[in-house]
Amino acid sequence: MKSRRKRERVVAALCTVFAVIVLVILLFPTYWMVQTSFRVGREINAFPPVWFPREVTLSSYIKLFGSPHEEASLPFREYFRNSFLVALSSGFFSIVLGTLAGYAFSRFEFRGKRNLFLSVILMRAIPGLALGLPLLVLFKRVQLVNTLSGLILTYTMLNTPFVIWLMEGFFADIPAELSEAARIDGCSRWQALWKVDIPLAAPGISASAIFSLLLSWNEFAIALILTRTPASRTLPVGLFDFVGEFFIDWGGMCAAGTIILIPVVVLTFFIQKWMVRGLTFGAIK
Amino acid sequence: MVVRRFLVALVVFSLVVPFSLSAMAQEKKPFEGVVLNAYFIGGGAYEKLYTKIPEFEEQTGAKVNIAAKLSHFELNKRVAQEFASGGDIDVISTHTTFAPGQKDFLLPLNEYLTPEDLKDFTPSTIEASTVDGKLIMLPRHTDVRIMYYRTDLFEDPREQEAFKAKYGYDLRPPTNWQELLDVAEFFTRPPNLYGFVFTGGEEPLVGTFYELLLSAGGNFFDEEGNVIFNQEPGQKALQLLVDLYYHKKATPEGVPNYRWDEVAKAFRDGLIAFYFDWPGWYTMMKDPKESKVAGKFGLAPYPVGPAGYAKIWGGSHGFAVAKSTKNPEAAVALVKFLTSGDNLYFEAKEGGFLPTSISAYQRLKEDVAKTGDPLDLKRLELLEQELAGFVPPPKIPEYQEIVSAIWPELQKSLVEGRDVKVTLDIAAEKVRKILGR
Amino acid sequence: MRTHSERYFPYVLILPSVIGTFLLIVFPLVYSFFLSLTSFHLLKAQSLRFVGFQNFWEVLHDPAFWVALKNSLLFMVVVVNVELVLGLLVALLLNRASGGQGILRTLFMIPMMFPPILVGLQFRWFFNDQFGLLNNILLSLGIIDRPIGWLVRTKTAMPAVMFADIWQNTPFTAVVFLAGLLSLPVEPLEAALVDGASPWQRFRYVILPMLRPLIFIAMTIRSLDAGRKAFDLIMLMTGGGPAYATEILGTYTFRRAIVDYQFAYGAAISFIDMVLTVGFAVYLYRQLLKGRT
Repeated sequence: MKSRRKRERVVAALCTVFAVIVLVILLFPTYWMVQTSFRVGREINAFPPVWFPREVTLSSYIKLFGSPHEEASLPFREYFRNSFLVALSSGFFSIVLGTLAGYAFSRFEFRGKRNLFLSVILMRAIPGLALGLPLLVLFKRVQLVNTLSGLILTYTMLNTPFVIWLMEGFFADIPAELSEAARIDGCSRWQALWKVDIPLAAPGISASAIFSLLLSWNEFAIALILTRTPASRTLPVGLFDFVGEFFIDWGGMCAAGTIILIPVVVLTFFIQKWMVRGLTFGAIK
Repeated sequence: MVVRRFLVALVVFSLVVPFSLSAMAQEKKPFEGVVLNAYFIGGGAYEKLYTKIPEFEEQTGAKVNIAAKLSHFELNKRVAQEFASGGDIDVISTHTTFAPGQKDFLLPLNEYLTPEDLKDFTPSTIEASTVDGKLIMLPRHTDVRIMYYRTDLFEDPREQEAFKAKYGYDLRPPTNWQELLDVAEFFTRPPNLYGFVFTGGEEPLVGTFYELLLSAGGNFFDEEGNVIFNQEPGQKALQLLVDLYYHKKATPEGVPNYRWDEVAKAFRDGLIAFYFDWPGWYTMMKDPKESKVAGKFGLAPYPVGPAGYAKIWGGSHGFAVAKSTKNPEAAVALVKFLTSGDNLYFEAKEGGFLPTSISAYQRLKEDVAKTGDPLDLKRLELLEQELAGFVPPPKIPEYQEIVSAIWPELQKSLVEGRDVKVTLDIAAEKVRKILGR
Repeated sequence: MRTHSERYFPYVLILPSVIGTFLLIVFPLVYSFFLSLTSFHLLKAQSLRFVGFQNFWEVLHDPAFWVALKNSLLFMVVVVNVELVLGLLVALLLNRASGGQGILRTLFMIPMMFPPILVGLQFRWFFNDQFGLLNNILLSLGIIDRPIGWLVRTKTAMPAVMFADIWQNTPFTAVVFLAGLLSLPVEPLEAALVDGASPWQRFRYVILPMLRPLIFIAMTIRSLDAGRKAFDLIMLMTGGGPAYATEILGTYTFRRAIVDYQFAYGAAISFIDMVLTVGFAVYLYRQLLKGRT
């Protein structure tokens, strides 16, 4: 009995060590990218590698954003603004659509519900390539090419299925009795949803928000073909503009990458507590 | 009375209006309000020419919206999707290699240009830009490769001595394939120096193979259009690349991922003893800010192949107009502007390109003669020799598809050492299938 | 009992999503499917000829398709399983951490916030033969004496892209499991403690069975989007090479549809891809429903 306990303790310790190693590996590339963005050129690919920067410079950032004395090398400010608008709007719309639909799937019985819900899940398997060209044709017809609205519409509908899935699971965890009690007190269906269920669903909504924002903020292939000027280009497309140069200018790539990451990391930090609680998919009873 | 006054007014009006209108027309620039969507090749030296576009906008009143500046591979994919989805695209960058594939969507420029407009272009480049009797692009500059080598290595007496001791003949920029192999092997000292580098990925790999194939006396197709690149010359050509990469490991190992930009970068970083490249990198290579080999490299002709001669693959970059453009006159005017003698001279000076304009080339030559820089002189002399005999890739619409069927097979020999005959037979079968459809 | 308007309430709730999805997802998809039944070629003006299922038939007889399918399966099976195991480990560890939960969780979620295109660029650099950090470290430690072309050797290219994918997506499975661990009911665990169960026994007989449904969900999600997410990554790291070694269905589709301009053929591949992925996911989802009831 005792030796078994001991062996288990050793195994547990080994697991912890292994998990810590995994964690370090997960963190290392981010560390490397961020510190490379502040490095002077000769330290970047130095041999042997320089683990902690000895000199720090902002020159990579100045190249991207410009400074009072230097013009920016690419319209990064515009890309930033576009990405913000696109991610926030499409995130908002997909949460509205997805929450409503998720509520319907979770609380009501209606015809074709099961198959419809299955197709919601399967939307995740749709190949982007089969969407790109038809969307380009469609958007050219309705003058949506090279507009932020075009991207917002597309991302809203790409995000909505996953939001529906998350919200369906989350509403399943909220006892239906609560909103029924509100109904008895004289609330309408909409009021019960708005005043009782939605506030309780905040964790699910935060999780949906993060995943929607991530997709819109990072999507590349569709944005590449639907945009054509800095007026509508988003950050990943802007990044790609400079792929050729980035094979030479690693500092610039790392600075751009760091900048792209900061907003989502900050956001995640503030809502991670609710977000993690929102990812249960109604699966834990 | 009222009627008379009215008539007078009418007469005065009808006299004055046409005058004032025509006066306004003279004020008005020809393409005021026109917006041209342009899809251009981007990157380093190519973009210098685009700094001239504001001049065009000033002269004509048109606005040029550069919708994309991409490497040629990315550009071709974008342009194809724009063509296929209909409209909204006016001017593109293209190349004599790619234009035949795009011909369904390109405006025949000969319907908009007079022979006078074309007389400053070298006739061979106009010929290469013409498909089925239609001029589908205006050439910008011509690309033929020459050898770049490191003078600090080749002229180092210790290296010369060591080389002679090992191979029994004098060290020099290789003049044939055996010397190429020996010298490449000799200078390979990883990880800081390799003898040679070549483009081992995608279309550029096929380009490099094609060049060697020609110098071995072969070609992709014979005169009847039969696939023949898997015969002996093809095998020799591929074997040379396999020997360099797989057997002697005389190049950086990343070569199967290298395209044009990467090979040039490797040489500029001082990692390579000698290699072949386009004229367009020359200015960058001479610039000590961009290049570690500035002042330390020389130029030499291509080594001759087993066929006893060196045949070089070449082509011209250029600009074309989309058939779907709503403003063909403005679009053609832009293409004409970008390929004018003055602008091509500007581009050649800034980027080191070889202009397709006779007058620009003449001016370039005079400049070089004036400065008397021996390397500049040598370069023009070499390029001129090669321009006389370069071979364009086959002008068939399926070329791109053929290329993309061949290169993964060639890589199979490069990275795994698969027998070259096996590889080429498989590739040839694929090409037959593509053409047979 | 139910009023007329109430019967329509659920339909009102789902209608906006259904309309939007039809316009922007289903319609383009049907359009692509229609194109896959033609000989549509991006650069041939007169190529919209109906050919029935000929493209599909040709795809099934295309050796390169089978290579890509094999690679796709291998890729998916390996990355999904590794991500599940590592994700579970990381989740258990994070769940135990006493202080700094917020910062720790945020930090370990960073990889999943990277744009895939940036992951591709980063790892292309990391594995680069001449300038890559990996070779740099190995050389400076004297483990190798000549740089290794990780991305150009047929044996190492696939593991390298798998590594990048696992790096990016392990946080996702971890965060799903963490959500599960946080919402586990405490009673069964306390009961197990009272019974004197060891930590391993508690994990194996109490925690793991309760996480089972989430494991299936994470597996379903990752199987559904593994191929799509890996596309940007592989395109930037290897472009599907060397010699098809990292060619998955997504990259092969792209090569045929866009690079070779054979859009109809590429669309046919992508629909076959979709049917296979969906089939696999439906199977997983059935397992999930079993676990739920």
